[in-house]
Amino acid sequence: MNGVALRTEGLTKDYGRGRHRALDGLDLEVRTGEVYGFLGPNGAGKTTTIRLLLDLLRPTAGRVEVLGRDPRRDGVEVRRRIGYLPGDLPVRGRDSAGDLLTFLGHLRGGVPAARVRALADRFELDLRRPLRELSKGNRQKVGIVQAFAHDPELLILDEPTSGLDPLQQQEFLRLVREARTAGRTVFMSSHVLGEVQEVADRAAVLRAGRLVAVEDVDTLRERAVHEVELHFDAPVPAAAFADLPDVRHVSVDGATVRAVVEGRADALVKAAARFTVLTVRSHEPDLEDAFLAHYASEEAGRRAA
Amino acid sequence: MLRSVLGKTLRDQRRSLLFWSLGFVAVTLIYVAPYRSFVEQGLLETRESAIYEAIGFDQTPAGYLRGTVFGLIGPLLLIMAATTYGARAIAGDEEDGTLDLLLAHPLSRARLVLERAGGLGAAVALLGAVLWAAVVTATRVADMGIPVARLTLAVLGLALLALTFGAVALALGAATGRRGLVVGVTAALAVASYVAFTFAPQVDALAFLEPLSPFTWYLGDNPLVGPPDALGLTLLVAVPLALCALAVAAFERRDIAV
Ligand SMILES: Nc1ncnc2c1ncn2[C@@H]1O[C@H](COP(=O)(O)OP(=O)(O)O)[C@@H](O)[C@H]1O
Ligand SMILES: [Mg+2]
Repeated sequence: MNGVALRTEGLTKDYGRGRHRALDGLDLEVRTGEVYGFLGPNGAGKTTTIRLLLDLLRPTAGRVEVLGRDPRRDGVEVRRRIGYLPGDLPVRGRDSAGDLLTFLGHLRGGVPAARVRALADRFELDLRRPLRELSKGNRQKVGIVQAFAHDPELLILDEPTSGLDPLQQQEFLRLVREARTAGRTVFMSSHVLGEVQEVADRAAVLRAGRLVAVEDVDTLRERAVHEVELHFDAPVPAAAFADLPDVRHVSVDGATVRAVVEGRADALVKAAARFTVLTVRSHEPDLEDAFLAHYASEEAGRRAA
Repeated sequence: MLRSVLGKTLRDQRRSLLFWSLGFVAVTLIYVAPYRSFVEQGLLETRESAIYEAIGFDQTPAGYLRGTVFGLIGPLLLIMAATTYGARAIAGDEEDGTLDLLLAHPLSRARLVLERAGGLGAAVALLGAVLWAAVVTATRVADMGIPVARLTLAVLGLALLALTFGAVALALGAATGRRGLVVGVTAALAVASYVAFTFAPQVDALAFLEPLSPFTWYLGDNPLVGPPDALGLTLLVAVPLALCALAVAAFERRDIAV
């Protein structure tokens, strides 16, 4: 269980004549049997990376190895062993979802119809419906079914839960856990921290084409940023909340204090404890805010160093 | 039909193939069946004219067919159909985003191009067969007395002509992935080829263009009258094959758009 399912070294991709650098020297290593989250805000380069792994794009520089092979040279063999969920399933023509799944199954030399049906049932997907009448969520289900139907060794999933409602998202995460239990490797991109925290063992964080961090998911959770709002029984002095460790973006507005906590909330709580606290509210911002906070401090640190 | 890329390609085209087929039958019947009554009404008596000579039109059965179905309307329609299919084969599907998912399966790019080329060939062959049946029937009805073997040769040449431009579209699509560009450039090439075949011989400075035109390979020696043009037919087979090879080479080395 300690093999490497996929690896990139210095993977770089420029698009178009403008040489827009979408991916810049990415080094990744995903171990066999792990669920690996690939996190980043929109435009970070997640889809670009995934399409490079499948040999749909050709790298400007760097190396890719998938299941021990070069996807450029041994693409057919590599892709036989992969299940891929595209960011958006294309729908053209009058085919039903079932027709598309049958056709894609044949490209793999046949996929058990019973397994396709079982997966479709699990997500309450009606296979007789024409593809182009399907909602984004239902298209996503078709994508999930075709990615998992042949029970591949490696699943490469691009934003797999987008468009799914919360119950279906949970069903999908169960499917991912089952795949891991069965020894499969899962590489899934996401811009939602929560779902990666729920299923992944490790996660990489990508921003603007660069790898920012590779962390155990537990560490990532500790890094998570929270927005905290405190209400007091009387106005509080701003000075009492200045320069607290792990606390940023403090705004004091009469009897209300708003701040962003990164890591421990200890300093903020102790500072607040000197006054009479009426309510405390805390919530996790979306990934983008959480990341921007993290990167900003990291980059500031680099500049200072 | 869902067992292979080629089968799926034809299946996806079944409606359009049906409509094109109906179109070919209708056009052939409208042009050819009333030939006798056109002649009797004197509608086909033309003065000596450079235009008629250029398009090879006269009122003999062979001249009439050469000037209409085989020289003008047939090529126009069949080249349009083949260009549409050739442009859709790679570029159209790529713009629709369907190639991404297809090529994420265990299917090589060469295989995809060749199966799509096979689909193009099958579509053109089918439309050619429909046209052949319509022409044979209509010339019987009009009592034009042209042997079936000659009609077969002419339809074969026409189908290969259309296949040539379909292959141009396929190759351009494989190289660029842009359907609009592919259709535009292919159509421009087809028009230029027609002009080079039809009018270049009358302009000394442009006469060298005539042997380069696929229309010349197909119609240079009127297949309804003269002997089969072995060199022309060979070129009409070789050029599409070469274009397929180019399509594979170009498609192998580039990014697939989503
Ligand atoms: N085909 C393309 N041509 C030019 N730029 C592109 C193309 N695809 C993506 N990009 C750019 O590359 C960057 C990374 O995009 P992408 O990999 O899609 O990010 P993500 O999937 O993380 O949202 C973005 O800045 C995007 O605009
Ligand atoms: Mg994306």
